[in-house]
Amino acid sequence: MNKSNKLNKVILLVTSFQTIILGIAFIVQILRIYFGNSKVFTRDICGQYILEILPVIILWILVIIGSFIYFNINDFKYKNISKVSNVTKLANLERICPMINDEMVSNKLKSIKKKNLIVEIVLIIIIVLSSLMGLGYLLNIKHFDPTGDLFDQAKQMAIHLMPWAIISFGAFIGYSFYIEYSAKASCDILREVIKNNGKVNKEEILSKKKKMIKLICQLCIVVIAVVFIVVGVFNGGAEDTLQKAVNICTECIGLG
Amino acid sequence: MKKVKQFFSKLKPSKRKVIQLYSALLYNAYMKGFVTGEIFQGKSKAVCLPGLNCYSCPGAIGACPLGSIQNALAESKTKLPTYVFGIILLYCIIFGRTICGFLCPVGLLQELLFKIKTPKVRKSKITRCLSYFKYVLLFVLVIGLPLIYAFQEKGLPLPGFCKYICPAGTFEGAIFLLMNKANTTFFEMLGTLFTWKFFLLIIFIVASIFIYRFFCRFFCPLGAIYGIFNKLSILGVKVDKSACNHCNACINTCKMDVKEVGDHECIQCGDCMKVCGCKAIKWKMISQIIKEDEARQKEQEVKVSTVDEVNTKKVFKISKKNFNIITYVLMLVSLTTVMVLVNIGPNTYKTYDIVDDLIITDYDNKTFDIKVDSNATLLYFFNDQKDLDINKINSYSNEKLNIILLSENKVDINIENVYFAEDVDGKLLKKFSKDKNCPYSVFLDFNDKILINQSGFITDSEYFEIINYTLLGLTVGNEVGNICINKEIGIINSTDTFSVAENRGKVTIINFWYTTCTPCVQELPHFNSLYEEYSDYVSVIAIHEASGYKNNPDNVKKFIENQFEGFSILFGYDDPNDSYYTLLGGLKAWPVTVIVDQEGVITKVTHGSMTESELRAEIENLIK
Repeated sequence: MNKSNKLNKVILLVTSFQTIILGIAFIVQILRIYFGNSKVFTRDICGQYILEILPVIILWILVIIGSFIYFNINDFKYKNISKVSNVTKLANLERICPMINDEMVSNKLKSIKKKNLIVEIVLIIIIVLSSLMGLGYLLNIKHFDPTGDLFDQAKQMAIHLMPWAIISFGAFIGYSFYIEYSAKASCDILREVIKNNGKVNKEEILSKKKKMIKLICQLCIVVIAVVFIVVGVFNGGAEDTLQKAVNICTECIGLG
Repeated sequence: MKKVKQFFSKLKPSKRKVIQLYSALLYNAYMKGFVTGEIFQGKSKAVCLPGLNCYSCPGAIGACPLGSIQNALAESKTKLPTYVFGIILLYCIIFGRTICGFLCPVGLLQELLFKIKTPKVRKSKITRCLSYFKYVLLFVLVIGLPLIYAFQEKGLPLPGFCKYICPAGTFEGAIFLLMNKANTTFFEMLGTLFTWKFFLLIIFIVASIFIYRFFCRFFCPLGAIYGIFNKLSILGVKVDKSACNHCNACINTCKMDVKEVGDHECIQCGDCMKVCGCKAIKWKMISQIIKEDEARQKEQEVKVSTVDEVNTKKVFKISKKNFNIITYVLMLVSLTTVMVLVNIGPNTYKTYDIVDDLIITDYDNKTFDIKVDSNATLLYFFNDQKDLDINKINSYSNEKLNIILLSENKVDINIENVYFAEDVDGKLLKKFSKDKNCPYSVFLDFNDKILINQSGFITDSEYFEIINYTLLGLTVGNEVGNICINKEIGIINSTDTFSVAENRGKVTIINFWYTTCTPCVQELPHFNSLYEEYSDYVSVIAIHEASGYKNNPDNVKKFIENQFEGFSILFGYDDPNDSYYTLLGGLKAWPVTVIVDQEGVITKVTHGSMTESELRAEIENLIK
C-alpha cells in the first residue's frame, strides 16, 4: 500500500513538473520572438519556435495520457480537498444552541462579538479608504487620454491600483483568519452550552409570504428584462451588437 | 478485465459534461468558419450567448455577453445600453450561475484541464477572499474603463476586459484565426498586446490544471454578475432546510468557494446532491416536474406535514427516465438544426474566386467553355431589354473579350460580337448571386478569376479601370503589385464620389474603419496629420464599414463631427452589396489600410493599425 502511495505521489509530481515546464517553455518562446526577433511575428517564425519545443509538448502529452490511464485503472481518488471552517461550524451551533441563561457565558460571547465588530469596522475602513484611493486614480481623466498609448495607460493603472488592491485583500484575508480564530473560541463555548442544556431547532423555513415576495421579484425582473430588450431592439442596440459581433475586433482578441 | 471495464466506465461523461459539450458545440456551430478562417456573419450574432464565448471565434454564432456589455457601455454616451442589459438580466434571473456550471465553454475547458492528475490546491479562507477579485475586475475593466474612455470629449470605445485580460478571446479568437492559412496577414498585427495576452493565457491554462476553475473563481466578471442573482434565479439548486441535518458534506465536497449551497460562488453544478445524506438538495423548478423514485417518494410521504408538500404532490410529474430522453432528443434536434442552418447554404462565387466550371451555349449553338477559352469573359444577366445599353455594349467589344448576355427568356436582339444565351430558371445566375437580382454583371479575367461580381451594369470607370487594364495584360486585384481594383465610393455629407482612378498622380491611402473599433479611431488622427503635411502628393479616404453606415448613418456622421472635427481627410461609406473592403482583401478584421502609388499600383496592404512613423515612411518612400 505504501509503495503504491509513493508511486502515486511520484507520478503526480512528474505530471505537475512537466506541466509547469511546458508552460514555461511557451512563455519563453513567445518572449524570444518578442524580444529576440524585434517583435516581428510571422507564420514561419511562430511555427519554427513551436517546433523547437515540440519534444516537450509530446512528452507532456505522453505523461498525461500515461498518468490518466494509470490512475483510472488504479481507482485513484484525491483526499477530501477541504475542511469545514469554524465560521460554518459556529453558524450550525448557533442554530441548535438553546438560550443562554448563564451571564458569564453570555458576556464571554458578547465580548467576542464586540472584538469581531471592531475588527470588521477596521476592515471596512481599510477597504473603503483603499477603494477611494483607487477610485481617485480612476476618476482622474488625465490618466486616460484616448489619444495616448492605451497599453501604457493600462499598465500605469495596474501599477497604481494594485497596491490598494493588495492592501484591501490582505486586510480581508487577515480578517478572515481572525474571524476563524475567534469563531473557534465561540464554538467551544456553545458546545459546552449544548452539552449542558441540550439542542433546540431554530431553523427558519421560508414562509409562504417570503416565497410569494421572491416569486414577485423574479417576475418583475423578467418583465424589466423583456422591456429592456424590446426598447433596445427599437433604439438600435441589437443592430449595434450585431455590427460589433460580425467584425473582428483585433485588439479585443490580442491581435495588437 | 474488471479493471478494463472499470477504466472505460470512468470515461463515460456525466450528464452535466454532456450538456456543457452540447452548449460549447451549439455556441460554435459554424464549423465552416474553422475551415475558411472567416467569422460567422449571420443575424443570430445579435443575440448574446449565456456563457463566455468570444464572438471573434470562427465558429461562434452568437455574441459574447461580456464583450457586448463593454461595447454597449462604450456607446452609452449616445445610446442607453438597454438591449444588452436586458438580455444579461434575463439570463441572470432565469439561470443565475447555472450558466457557469452547465453552459459555459470556458468552464468546460477548465474542468477538463483539472482532470489532469497533479497535486491540487485546496480551497481555503484565502481563496474565498481572493474570489472577490473578480468583482474588482468587473468594476474597473468591464464597467469603469469603457465608461471613462467613452465619456471624454474625444471618446474612444475601449472594452477593457476583452483587450487586456480575456483568455477566451486569445484562445478562441486569436489562436484559431491565426491557425488558419487564410489569415496569414494577421501575423503582421501581433506585438506587445498579443505577447501579454498569450502570457496570460498560458498562466490561466497551467493554473487551471492545479486549481479548480481558476479563471471562473478569481477573474471572470460574467460569473460575478450572474452570482449576484444566484439566490433569486429561477433555475439552480436549493436546500430543503427542513430536511437538512447541517452535516456540511455539501460544502466539504464543493470545489468552489461556497459558504452555503446556492450562494454567489455556487455554480449550481449539483455535485453536492450526490453527497447529501438526507437528500435535502434539489433542483429548483425541475424537482417540481420530475417524479422522485419510489423509495424517495415513500420517504416524503412519511415526512409530509405541511400544506405545501401536499400541494406539490398533486402537480403532474414525469419520470426521470422520460425527462432525460426528452432532454437528450431536444438537444440533439436543436444542435443538428442549428448546424445545418448555419453551415449549409447556397455556395455562390465571390470576387477573386476562380470559376472552375462554366459552359454556356448561345442561341446560335456556339459553346463557350471557360476551361478551354483563353479570352476574358463578361457576363451580363438581364430580364428586361430596357436594361440593355446596346451602344455601350458595342463599345466594349474586343477580340480578347467574350461578351455574353443572358436572360431567362429568349430575346430577339442581334449585336455584333456579342452572344446571347438562355439562363434557364436563373441557374447560372444563382452561382454568382444568392438573390438572383437582375441586372447582374460578372467579369472573369484571362485566368477565370472573377474581378467584377455585382448587381447592375458595369460603370465606365469599372470598364476602364478593371476590364481595360485586364485586356491590356495588367493584373488588377487587391494584392501588392496589382493595379488597385477601382470602385466609386460615396463621400459622407456630400454627393461627390471618390475613386482611386480619379486620384492617379497622387499616392492614395484607403483606410477602412468603423466607429466602435478602438484602433481604427486611434489611428485616424495620424492619417489626418500626415495628409495635411503631404496634401499635394497624397489623397486619403477613410471608408466606414458598410452595414454600420447603412443602418445608422446619422450616428456615424455625429461620431465623425464629434471625434474628427476639423479633419481634412475624406470620409466615405462602403456599399453593403458590393463591399470595397471585401474587394480589397478585407478579412473582417479592422482597421485595414491600402496604399496605392501614383500609377494606381498597390504597394502595401496592412491589416491592423499603422503607427504614424510607419505611414510616414511609406509615403516618403513613394513620393521620392
